[in-house]
Amino acid sequence: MQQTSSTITIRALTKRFDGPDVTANAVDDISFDIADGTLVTLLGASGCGKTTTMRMIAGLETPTSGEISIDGAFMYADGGRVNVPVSKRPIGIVFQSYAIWPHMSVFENVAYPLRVRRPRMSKAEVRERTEESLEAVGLAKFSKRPGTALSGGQQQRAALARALIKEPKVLLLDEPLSNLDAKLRDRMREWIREVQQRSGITTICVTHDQEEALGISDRVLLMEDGRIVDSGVPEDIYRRPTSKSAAQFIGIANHVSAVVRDVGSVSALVLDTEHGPLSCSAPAGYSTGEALTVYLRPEDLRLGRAVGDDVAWRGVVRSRVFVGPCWEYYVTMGATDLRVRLYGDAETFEVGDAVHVWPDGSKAIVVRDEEGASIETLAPVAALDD
Amino acid sequence: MSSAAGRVSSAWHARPGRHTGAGRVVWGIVLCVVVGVFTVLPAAWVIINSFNSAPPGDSFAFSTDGWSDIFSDPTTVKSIGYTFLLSLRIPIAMAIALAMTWAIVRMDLPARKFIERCLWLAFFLPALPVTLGWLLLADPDYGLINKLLHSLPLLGGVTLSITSVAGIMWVYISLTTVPIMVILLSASLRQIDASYEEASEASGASVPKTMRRVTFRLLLPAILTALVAGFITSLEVFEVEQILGTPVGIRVYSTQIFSYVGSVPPLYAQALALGTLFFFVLLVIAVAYQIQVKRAGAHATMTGSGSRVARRPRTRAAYVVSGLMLLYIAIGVALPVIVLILGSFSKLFGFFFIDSPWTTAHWSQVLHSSDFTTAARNSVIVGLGVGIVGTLLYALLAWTMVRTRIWGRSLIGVMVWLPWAIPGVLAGVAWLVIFLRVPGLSSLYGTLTPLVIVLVVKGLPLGTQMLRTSVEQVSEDLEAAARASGAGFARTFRTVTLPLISPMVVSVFMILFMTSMRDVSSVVLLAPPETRTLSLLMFSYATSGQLESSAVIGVMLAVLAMFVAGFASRIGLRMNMGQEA
Repeated sequence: MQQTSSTITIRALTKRFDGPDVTANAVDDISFDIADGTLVTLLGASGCGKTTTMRMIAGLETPTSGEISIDGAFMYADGGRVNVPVSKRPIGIVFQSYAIWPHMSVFENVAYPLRVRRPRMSKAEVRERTEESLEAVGLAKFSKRPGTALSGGQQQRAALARALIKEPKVLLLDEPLSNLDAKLRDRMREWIREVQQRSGITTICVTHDQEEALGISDRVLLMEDGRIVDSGVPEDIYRRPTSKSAAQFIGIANHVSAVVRDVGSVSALVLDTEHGPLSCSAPAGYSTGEALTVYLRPEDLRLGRAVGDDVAWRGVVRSRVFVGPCWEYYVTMGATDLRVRLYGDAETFEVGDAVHVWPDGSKAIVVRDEEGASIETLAPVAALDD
Repeated sequence: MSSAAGRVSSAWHARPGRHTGAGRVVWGIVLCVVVGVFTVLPAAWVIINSFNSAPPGDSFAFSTDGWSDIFSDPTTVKSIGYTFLLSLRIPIAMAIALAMTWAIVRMDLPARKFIERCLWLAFFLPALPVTLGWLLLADPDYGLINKLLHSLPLLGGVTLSITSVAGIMWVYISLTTVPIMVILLSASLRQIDASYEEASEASGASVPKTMRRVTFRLLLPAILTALVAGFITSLEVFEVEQILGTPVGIRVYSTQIFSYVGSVPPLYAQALALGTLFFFVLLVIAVAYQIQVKRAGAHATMTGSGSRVARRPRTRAAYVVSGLMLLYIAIGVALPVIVLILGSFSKLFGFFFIDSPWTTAHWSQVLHSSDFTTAARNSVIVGLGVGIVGTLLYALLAWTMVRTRIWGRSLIGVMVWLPWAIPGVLAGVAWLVIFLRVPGLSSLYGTLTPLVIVLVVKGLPLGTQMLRTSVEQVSEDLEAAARASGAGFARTFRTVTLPLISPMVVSVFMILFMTSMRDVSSVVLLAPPETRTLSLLMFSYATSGQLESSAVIGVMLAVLAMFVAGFASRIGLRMNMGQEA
């Protein structure tokens, strides 16, 4: 990784929870750096270790082994001989539940980090800075209200104000949008990103929602079973997932089993898939007869009337849904269904229509079938089916 | 009453928005009257008769002699002073209980479950045998500890006397006050999501500061409840002061009432005047409590998924804290019980150093007496009867108070606390007269029914409060979903509400069962010999000088308490695990 200055450095971080049913590490020997001022998302399904990782950075969970440093200073190292308590770490956290204290007003909630600070800050300064901060998050007129009298979105803004008011070096966001309704979620996502960019604070966000992760981050770390299985800028993660689990998690709906029939020039492959032939490209290294899986996004498939062309895949429209920008078709292909999205003025089909499915080979993502095998992505080349 | 309460509730719950104002008022009045008969009536009787100089049975003769007597009698005035002095144990115990609660819930303590079980045991232990155990240990003359101290050359002059203000406080703090406080507080602390505290620490506050500014503030309603509960549970026992204090001139208001009632002829007006005085003191406390709780608000926002309990990793401090608590339990609970067991096998209570001091004679004598068999049977019937009837009634009452909008709910809310404002002995006097005077009820005297009624009423405040909290945590949607699925009120209550609050129901049942088994003060005047329970038999042995036989029954009750406590804490622990998951 080519960061010039990294705020957070994680080395060989491992967490194992003791218990009779524990068979694996919750976080398993992960290492990464987070560059100054960037927003990095830990993305993964529940139980993948992302929250545990964040809690270890915060100091709310003690690692089993490894090192954590923030801005060059060790927070945890030497098997616990260095272990800075939560209250002394330069962090701010927005909890999933927001944890807005119900026994304090909004003002008191936000002022709290300043009030507990040592050396003491003058009352006037606390007031001034808190009011400024409430102004910035648009809660100035609610400052007298009890914390719980706020709506979800307002509570979150209060929580963010509270996390930022002590000017931490690192901001930690735990599933920041999961408790909001869909409309509010988009607004808050934009707002959080804006606040982060304006303050330039290094931020770690934990989420299971890929859309949220892609929309908010400078970089995404995809976690599975306590390990980081993929990392990169959001577009790379989305366009070129480098593993099976990454492809599945990113939500590529269609996967098709295939065998290599022929390895052509310029690393072009000709595949026999379960539905029919497919020409696509892959880096060198595949050999004839090898088994693999092809991942295809719904928008990378086209439909046409069945007219007896033996290159196309044949299927029958099982159901269709109009989702606004496009029609979504479910096409039955033998034992499985393919999901197809047709945008714009494309021809429409009725349920029961016999159709041809034309995959866009240039967008296909090919992944070898063997467990643990190295995984290849495809650079787009001219598709062979034209 | 149960079916009536059921119909009340269903009438409003079934069709929110459609019920008439009149119905709400009618059912509200009915419920107020029913609850009032059992709570206000004895209180009113006590207050009115404090102005009555006529002996029982004669017609009312107004006089303020009772009141002027208590204020002119120096012993009584002193007893009022001692009562307030001894109540200083409440803040002391609260400080200990808060520290213990936090350690038990938020630290990964070694032997944590064992410690919790022991606290339940301490809570369930009858006071009388433990007090006897302490006499054996720390009587200024023949107590084992003092004999040991006197034999040590350097500490020759030091005597630890249990028959002193400090001694009485110690027995209360270790036996009743701290355990009940920890049990109540830890249940509440488990409900408070750990992220509130984590947010404070992430804001830069140290652990003690977080405790002070966040944890204990969020716990405030529970702290208030525990304060009142600690105060009341200490007041309902009078055996401790009677045995430890009275011989050395330390009298408190409850033992003073007992001595007024026990004198010949009984000085009822004085007893009731003194009772009324403290009734108003407790009433003020109860009202202040209600106001404070309302102000503190139901802060802890509890979600259906339950809250997360974060435990700090086990460090050396955890071992130290755990060791201190085990020491506390060993001294406060185990030691007196062990000495009591020895006492039950001794030929002469307190004389362990005579030639061949041991005998099983007292055990065989007690076990073979018909008094024992009758008392054991009575105890089981009363315990189960109070447990079953009480739990069901409290659950319905709690549900009605939480879920319906009937008229007079806040009045009922105040009335259910009234039984706590009347000390057990005084309530006993009140109920005795009610049972003897009210036509139709007198035939019940001499059966176990009065005992069951009195104990159900006595358990009303704590039981209803516990179940109320529990019902409040059940989302109304869960019940609405059952109603929408076509279930009637009774079925919804049985298949949805009760199972969801079942951990609390079981806890309430066991508390009722055990408090009924060990109660002396409320029922001592209501039970002629043939309806005596085990605890009353134990009390009568103790007061007639048969301390060894009293110890035998004390040991049996202690063993029973141990079983119930073991079971209770298992249920309790299961409840906690459900919240942690």
